[in-house]
Amino acid sequence: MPAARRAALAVIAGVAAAVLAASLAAGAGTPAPGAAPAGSVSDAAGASAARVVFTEQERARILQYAPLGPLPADPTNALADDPRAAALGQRLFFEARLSPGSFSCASCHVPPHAFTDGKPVSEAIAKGRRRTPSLLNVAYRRWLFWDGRKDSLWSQALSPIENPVEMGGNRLAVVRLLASDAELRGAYEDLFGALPELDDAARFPPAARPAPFGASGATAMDAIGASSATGATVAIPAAGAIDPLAAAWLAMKDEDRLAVDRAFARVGKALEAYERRLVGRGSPFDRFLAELRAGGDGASLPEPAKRGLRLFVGRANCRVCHSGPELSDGEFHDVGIPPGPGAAVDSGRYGGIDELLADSFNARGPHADAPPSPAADKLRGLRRQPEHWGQFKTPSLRNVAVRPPYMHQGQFASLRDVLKFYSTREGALPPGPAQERLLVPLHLTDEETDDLIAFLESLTDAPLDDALLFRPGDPQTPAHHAP
Amino acid sequence: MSRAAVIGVAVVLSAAAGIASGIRAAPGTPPGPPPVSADSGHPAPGAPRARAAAATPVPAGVTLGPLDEPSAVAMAPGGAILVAEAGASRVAVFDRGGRLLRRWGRAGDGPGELRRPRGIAAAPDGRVYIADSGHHRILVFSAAGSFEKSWGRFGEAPGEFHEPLGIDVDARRVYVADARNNRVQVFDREGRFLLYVWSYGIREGQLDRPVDVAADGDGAFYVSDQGNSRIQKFDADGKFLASWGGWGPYPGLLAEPGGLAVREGRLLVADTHNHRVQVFGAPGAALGVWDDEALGGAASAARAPGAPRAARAQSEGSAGRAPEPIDLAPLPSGDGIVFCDAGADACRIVMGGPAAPHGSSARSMTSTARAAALSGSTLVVAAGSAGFLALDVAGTQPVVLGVFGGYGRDALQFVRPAGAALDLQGDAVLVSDGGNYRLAWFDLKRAAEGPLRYEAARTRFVRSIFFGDEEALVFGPIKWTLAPALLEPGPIARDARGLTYILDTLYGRIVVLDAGFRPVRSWGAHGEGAADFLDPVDLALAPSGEMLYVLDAASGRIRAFDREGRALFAWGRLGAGREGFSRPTSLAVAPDGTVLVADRAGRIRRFSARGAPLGGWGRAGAERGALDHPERVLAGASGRAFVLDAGGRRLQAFSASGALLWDLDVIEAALEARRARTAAIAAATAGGRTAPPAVPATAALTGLEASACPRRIASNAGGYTVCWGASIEPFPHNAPFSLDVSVYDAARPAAPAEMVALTVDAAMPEHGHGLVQQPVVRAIGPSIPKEKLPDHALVHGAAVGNGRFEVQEMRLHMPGRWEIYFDIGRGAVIERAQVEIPLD
Repeated sequence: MPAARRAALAVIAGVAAAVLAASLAAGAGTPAPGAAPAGSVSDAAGASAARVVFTEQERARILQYAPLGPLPADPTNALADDPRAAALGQRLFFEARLSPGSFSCASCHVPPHAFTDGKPVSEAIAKGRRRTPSLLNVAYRRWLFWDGRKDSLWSQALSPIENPVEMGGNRLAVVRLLASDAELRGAYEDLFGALPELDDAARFPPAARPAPFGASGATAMDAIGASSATGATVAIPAAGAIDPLAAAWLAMKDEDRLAVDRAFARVGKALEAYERRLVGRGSPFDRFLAELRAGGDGASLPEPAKRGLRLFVGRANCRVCHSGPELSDGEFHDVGIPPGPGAAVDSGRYGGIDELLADSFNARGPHADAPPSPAADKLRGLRRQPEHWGQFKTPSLRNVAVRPPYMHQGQFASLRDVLKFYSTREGALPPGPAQERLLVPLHLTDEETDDLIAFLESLTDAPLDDALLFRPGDPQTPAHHAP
Repeated sequence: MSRAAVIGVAVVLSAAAGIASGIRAAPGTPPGPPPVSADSGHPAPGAPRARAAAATPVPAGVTLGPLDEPSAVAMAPGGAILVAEAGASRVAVFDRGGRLLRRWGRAGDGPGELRRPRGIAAAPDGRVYIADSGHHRILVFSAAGSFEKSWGRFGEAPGEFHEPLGIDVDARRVYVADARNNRVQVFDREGRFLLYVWSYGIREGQLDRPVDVAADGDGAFYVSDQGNSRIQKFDADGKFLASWGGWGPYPGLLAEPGGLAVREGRLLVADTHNHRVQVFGAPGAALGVWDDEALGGAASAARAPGAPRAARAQSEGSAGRAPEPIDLAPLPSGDGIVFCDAGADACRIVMGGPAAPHGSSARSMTSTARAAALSGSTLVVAAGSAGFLALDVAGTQPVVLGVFGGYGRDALQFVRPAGAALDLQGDAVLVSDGGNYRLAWFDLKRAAEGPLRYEAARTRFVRSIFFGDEEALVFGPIKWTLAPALLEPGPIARDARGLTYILDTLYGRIVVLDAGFRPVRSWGAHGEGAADFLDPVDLALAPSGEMLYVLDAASGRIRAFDREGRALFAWGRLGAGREGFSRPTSLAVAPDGTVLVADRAGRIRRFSARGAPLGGWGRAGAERGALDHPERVLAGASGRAFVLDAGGRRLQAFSASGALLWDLDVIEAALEARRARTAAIAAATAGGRTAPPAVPATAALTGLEASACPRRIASNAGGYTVCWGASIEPFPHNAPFSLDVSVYDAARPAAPAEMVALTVDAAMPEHGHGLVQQPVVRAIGPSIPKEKLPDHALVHGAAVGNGRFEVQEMRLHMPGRWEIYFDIGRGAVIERAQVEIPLD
């Protein structure tokens, strides 16, 4: 098209964009009349009529985002960045013998699928109660699990191993496995020193673990007679029935339990060392941010994504919770999402805080390699309040587009469904005393929804190094139990 | 320093305030089988009423009523149902099918006679133990109802009681929830004192108004810790075992629970203000629930949001009312429960087991809050657990001005608020927060738009005084000369000169404080004498401020005093007929000096300033225009009356002749007022501001260098100056930073204030939430020896120092408008300074 006409259109588009931006900055919430509709195509060359030019306020808000910085230190795990620990951890990640049902971590945290399983709630020995979180960039999380009941990655890794509806294992069996497998034993003892001697059957039962934490309402014991993926029936004690694993654990001596716990914790620490390497880089959004910081106008980001970003930091108010390099504040909110296929009653953070403070593997416990400095002590000042009920962790939005379904019980199958919920608030739970008050129906148009999705898709990182995605030693073998 | 200062003070007990539970009139017959107790007198013991053939099966739900304030229910070993009727001071006995068998017990002051029995238990051998909250004693009757023995009297020594509300009996021991003494006492079956659990507070093992107790069969016992909305378990020796619950509408949480019962290792809890009965297994495990639908009320969720409850009550009769279970007993067969509904004046047998835990009663949460105040045309009223609602009542319909506060123990929250007073010149509200043992003063911030509109999010907590710590009161700067020192503030009145008259429900006296919370005088005590009160429930000032009226529910008398506390005259009595009250609950004085008295039976009576009767109006009922157990009355100009009834849920306005002008569901209105702001908040957050405003310095302060005081704010009442600075500025998003804080007495800025306690908090008032972690405050400078630290400061987590503090773990995790609060405490008085931080 003639250059003059193109330039004229650019000017008109710029004016329209400025009017639109000004109306948003004033909080009016609807596009100014006369602004070109989003997504309009104005000429044969396909250039959109409305180029996004960010206002100063939008720019300031956008520049509050940044690529993920260096990994935060984990003082509770001395070997968190040790490559040998990471190698052992990677091997353990794919180790199906940790579970009587032959599940490994990779069964639900499937590496090629963003380290999650694509199911609304986890399904291993039995159906779980919540969505399997993705492990991409997991090392940056302040709290682990939807309810924040773990404060370190290594202690989190231990939880699914013993969960009766997930891997169904127990720490005695785990330590015995390490002792009996020469390679694992060698790798472990290289890093951590000798394993405890488990020969004395009177002191060390074949299988034992503490009772699952009960007071939080976790119904780990309520699935009965489920079958594992291989068809074997695995019996789970019914609620109220005696738990033989817990009984065996209680019968052990204190120092023996401590020795087993120490070894078990180290298994988690090796797993953490591996998981700390699962860091994504190179998303289009990060490229765009770099351009903006260098003084450019971020031309690499497509216009729809820019429009979506404008909504994200503007009237859609997404940035209020999805802030910071992770695009999550790392904290907990109740946004009124109706329950899905998981547990009908889920106390969220309320139960999580109790469990965290009682956890012997937390940062203040005997298995943390070094207590956090007072400034880094996350548990200090943590106090459960009634408003924590029903709060769940703000998920990071990095790589969000590649890991449906969404929310803590996988209630929404697609990003479009998520946006429809925020747009209409249809089906939202009646507000409790402490629900987020910002949540009004956004009334997004279809184009605005498309734009937001385009922005969210720009948060997808480049694929990870292949070497991290498979069991070590078998580079081309897909992970055990990949769906 | 021992906690004894807070708890174990010699308490000369007042009579019961008696408003622990919402009380509502029976709205008529609910659908289902007709009520079965149509008798009018005292049937001969042992003579059952004739009934239809026994071949008819027991229906799914059977209502036992109408009953006169049914407060407690127990199962006799033979399967009979025993109900304690507090209003009639007697016991009603029903059979398993709900047929009334007989009544026994007699109101009076003699041996074996009752006054407001609120707890009942049946021993394994059939004897019946009754907790008499009016006489503050325990009575034992045979299974047939003949009096055997009693023990106890008003007091705080072992074996004495102050409003015993709950009781349980096992083979060997008797357990009594001694509510106003904040303790549980354990006796042997003959009444010999064995042990008690006695500690007021919010920590584990401490109690705040225990209203019931249940033995688990092995000597251990559960306590319904109503003020803390939780259950606690103690072993046979009274040692703390477990505590769970906490306030909230969700499964496993409780809202000011009532009675308990144990069946086969499970604990059943009457979760009164969540309108449900919950079942717990191992401590904390919520196993099941009978929600309000299962208990026989229409599901509150079915109500259209915004529809005034009273309006629905008119169209649907009783169907719109949510039950308020105050006590319960499991049926021995295990296939149901019987519970007493405080609002319906009836008990009900519910067949069937509990459902799985589910849902939330957030929309229908009521509470024990019963405070209201009127000044000019501005009315504030406690709206359940939603805080306080402010209304303009000048016009033909009420206009909602705003809502502030909520339920809890923080500065802008309340537990059992019993009174309020307005000071419209200063746009201030004084709230008598009984459950938090404090008087708190708030500024209502007028909104920019509109002539009279209060910005809920900018309501400021200014100053409060805590009445629960004797040491802090006596040794603090207030020069607290009151003896006894403690008090539990009930209704209040304020005169034009700033004097506040407080009805102390702990000691049954009137306490007068000046504007600085200093005691000016006090008079009265618990007792039957001419200068004493038995059960004072309300007070009101004459318009001139020269006379104070006090209403005593136990005698039905209104007593008038002058400002110095000298008795002037009195009138009124209990009794039937036009001249007597049945149970008066509230009084108010109109601008023209006439006195209004509300009676629980549903009448408003008018008197001249000297007590001459001027008539009255009102009829009992739940429909609009009727009075459903009125609990608070306010008197406006031109003879207008405003009545809070229906369990604190409904406010109605009447003309001088008793014609209904309007009615309002106050809880619904408060929730709606909160909701209506949401869109504006969302837009404001989206819009935001690019740069925070420059923080203005206050006027130059002699003796304080600017460099020593980077940021300077005055406390909301002007008593302190706070200098503060942050380790990172501008404040980072969602990253920790610390603050340096120095506190100065405004009158003596030369050096930091000595012996002050500081807590620091922050909140986003528009969003309705605060920090995710409590900041840690540390005093800087030579540490103060522990013996010198005031107890209450330690209880509430403050740091105590000589004016200089460091605050760590500050983290503002969301963008928007934050307020940072510096709560400075000295002695029993806390004052707030605050600063606004917009974070974009």
